[in-house]
Formats: sequence, C-alpha cells, structure tokens
Amino acid sequence: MAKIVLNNVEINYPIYDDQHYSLRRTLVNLTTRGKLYRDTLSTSYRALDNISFTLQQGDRLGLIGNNGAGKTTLLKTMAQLYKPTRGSITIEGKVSTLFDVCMGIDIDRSGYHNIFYMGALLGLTRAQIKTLVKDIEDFCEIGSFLNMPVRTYSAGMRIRLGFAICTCIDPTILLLDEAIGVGDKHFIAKASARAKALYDRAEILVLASHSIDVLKEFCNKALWLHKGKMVMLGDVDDVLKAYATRPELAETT
Amino acid sequence: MLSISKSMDQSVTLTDSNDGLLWAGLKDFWQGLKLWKMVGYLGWEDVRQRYIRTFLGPLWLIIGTAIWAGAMSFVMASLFGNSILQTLPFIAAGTILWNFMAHTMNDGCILFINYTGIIHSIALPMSVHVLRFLIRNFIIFLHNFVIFILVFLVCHVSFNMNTLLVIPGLFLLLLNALWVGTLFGIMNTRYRDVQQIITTSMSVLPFITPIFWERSFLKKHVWIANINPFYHAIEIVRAPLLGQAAPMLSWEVMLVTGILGSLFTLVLYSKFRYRIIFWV
Repeated sequence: MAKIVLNNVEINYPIYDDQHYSLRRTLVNLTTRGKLYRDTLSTSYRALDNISFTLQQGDRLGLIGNNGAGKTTLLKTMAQLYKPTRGSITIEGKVSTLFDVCMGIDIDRSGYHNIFYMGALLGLTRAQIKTLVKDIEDFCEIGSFLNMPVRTYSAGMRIRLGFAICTCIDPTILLLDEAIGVGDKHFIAKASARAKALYDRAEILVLASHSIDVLKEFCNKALWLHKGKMVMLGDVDDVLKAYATRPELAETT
Repeated sequence: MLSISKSMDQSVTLTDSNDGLLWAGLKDFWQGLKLWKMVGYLGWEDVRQRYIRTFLGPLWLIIGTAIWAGAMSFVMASLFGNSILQTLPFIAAGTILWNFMAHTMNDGCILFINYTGIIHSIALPMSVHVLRFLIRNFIIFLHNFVIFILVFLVCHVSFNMNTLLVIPGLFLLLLNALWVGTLFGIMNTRYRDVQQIITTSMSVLPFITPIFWERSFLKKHVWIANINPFYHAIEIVRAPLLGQAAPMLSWEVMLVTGILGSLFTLVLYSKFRYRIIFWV
C-alpha cells in the first residue's frame, strides 16, 4: 500500500551567489574577518513552511499556486531529493518522477542506445528494457532515426523519444511537474492517452500544474500553496473554486 | 471520500534529525552498492562513450600512454646509464598508476557537477555517481594495463610470490581513490576553484614523485619520497608488479591514509550529502 506522510515539513534553501562559490574568497574572509571584501551575507530561503498531510492509495493530488509558491520544492521533497530542515516525511512505495522527459539523454548516441541508457537510470533492468523497445518504437514514430545519433533529431523528436521512455515505467507513486504535451496535434492526442494510462497505473499521483483543466481532469484532491505555506487542502473542485477567487486576482495584495 | 488528512504520527524516512557522524554516509554507500548492476553498466557506458566517435577506440588511450612511457624510458635510461630493459617496466608501471591517480583527482572534482540533471530529477543514492566514476576510471586503468603486460613479456620481469601482493596493493589504491574522489567531488561542488588549485598543484607532482626515476637516486634526500603519499600509492602496486617487495612504510602509509581519509570523508559526506543538490 502506497502512502506519503508529511509532518510539519520545512525546507530551507541555502542561496549562493558567485562569491560564495570561491574557496579563495571564503578563506580570505575567514582570515581577515571580512575586512578585505565586503561580503554579502549568505542567506537562505524558506521554500516550504510547516507542510503536513497524508496521501493514500487512490489519491490524485493537484498542486496549485503562483510561481514560487513551492510546488516544485514540494515535489522534490516527496521525491526524496531534499531532506526536510525541520519535520519529517515518510514514504511507502516506489517513487517515480517525471520532471524532465529528456533527462540524461545523450545526444552523441543513437536513439536505441538512449532507450537502454535512460532505462537504466530509471532503474529498469536490461531484460525489462528489451521487452519495452517495441512499444517505444511504435509510440515515438521516428522510424529509422532511432539508429541515428540523437543530435540529428529535431526538438520534437527528442521529446517524443524521451517521453516514450519515461512513460514506460510502472510507478507506485508518480510525481509530475506540469503535464507534458509537445509536438504536433496527432502526437499530443497520442501522448495524452499514454500519459493518462501511466497516471492510472500509479497508486498515488501528485501533479503540479497551472492549468485548471489539467488538474480537474486528473486529480481528485488539490493543495493550494502560497509562499511555501498551505493555504487550502481538500476536494479538487472546492480548492479550485477558492483559488479562482483568491485575493491577488482582485489586486488587493 | 476524502482521504487526505492532517496527520501527526508516523514512522520516519527523512527527517531533520542528524543520523550520527557516519551512519548517513554508510547507508548511502550501501544503497549505492546494492545498485551494482546499474552502476557497473553506467561506468562501462562512460568508457564506451569516450570512444564512440574515434577510429581506434580505446587503442588511442593505450597508444598515448605507450608513447609516453617508451620515450621517457629511453631518455631516463640514457641519463642514468641504466639498461632500457630495466627502466621500461618501472616507468611503464609508474606512468599507468600515475595516470589513474591524476584522473581520479581531476574527474573527482566534477563528479557531481557532471550529473546535475540526474541529481535534480531522480532520487538515487548520491554514491551511485561516485561509484560510477570510480568504475569508469578503473576500466580505463585496466585498458592501460595491457601496456604493462606487453612490457612484462618483452622485458622478462620476474614473476614470484611478491607479485601476488598486487591484489592488496590495488585494493588499498582503490580505497584511497574512493575517498579522494568523493572528497574532491564534495569540495569542488561547493567551492568551484578547488579544481584549479588541484590541477595547478598536480602539474609538479610527476616530477617530484619517483615515477621516472627511482627512490634510491635521491641518496641522502630519500625523505623527499618518504613524505610523499603519491610515492607510496604508486609503490604498493608497482613494486609487486616488478616482482619486488614494497617498503613496509608504503603499506603503512596507504593503510593509514585509507582508513583516516575514508572516515574523514564519510563524516563530511554524511553531513553534506543532502546539500550537494543545492550546490550543483
């Protein structure tokens, strides 16, 4: 049984500018106690503040909020990429992420080779990938280009390939940053069918999106974030209704 | 039915609490080792990637090292009046080992930065990247090792009980390479000028380390070699390869640096493993 439990999760980002990447500058500052350079203070940014909720099998959670609200940070926290600076997160079940379909693609190698390379990064065994090759071939419809280096592909072809590979997985928990869909009309229709099938396979789906339509279509719950804090959590229609009448829209803030 | 609820009590996976001085790092490396199939494949792919568009493939690497070792042996044998058959195995072994160490230090610096895209998208143990890098460098080292086998046959290097010490020697070398690579990786991800510092300091090392000349040439200044850990790292593999016993001091130094270095790096790694994603 898949389950995600967040308990008072807080994420603090350290923020570095150019100078903070220099060892020389850091050492000089330490030894001269900051007399030589006027140093900007190293700062941190609270991207998530006191987030608590539980997701169980069958939950399809949509994340909504302005840019910088913390949607991506929350996804990355659930993906176990970030460790909470306060609070805790417990996850039961295998987590798969779909943040960037072209992640890890190697443009010098052929399409076929990339199927195996990206498949390995996604945690698939060679035998598993072999059974998926036919399906990927059929889906991306780029024919003999699969034998050519990816550098010869158009942007659309790359996305087709990446999308076909990334959507092969059988996730327990699936995390998505914006629903995907690039390419010609025929491809979009095909892609959304494939994406929908993938979403249905997952026991828990978490999807961050700005599109009300996408959230309504795929989610049964929604979480509205604002400046890293939870504003509202509940049934997707209720949250979206409240979000549509949020005060910033009326320019009151 | 709304199953989302504000919950308080649960078993813990990731928390703000400190996992202790070493535990987090050990756990991460153990999880990485459990993915050995994937790590091995990725390391092997990295090597293939290098040669995919070259005509001679891995031969390029071997030819480069062979030319270097051959030319240096010729010059050094003439300079010191030794026979080339004696000098060649010594310099060939030294060059191959030095190349491995230089690669480890250089590539170690960029080992996390190289995989920024993956680090930001997939939750893998961070040690996957470290182990992948070590395997890649070790495979390249084994490629180069072909040269030594040729030299071995041509120059009639003696093969005896000492030769078996190559195995513990390589083990200690790899252990040290593992922590050095990880440490440089962490440091250079945080402070980007670390790689420049290392590249600059490394340019002088092959000349002050007994790679092209033997330690005994130092005469009463033998301390120059003895205080140099790079000499000991080379010696524990080179001496057995040449059928000789490495000095006890070299074993001791490599064992101590291996243990202390690994502990130090593990502490650092445990502390900063979840910081790396903010630095890359």
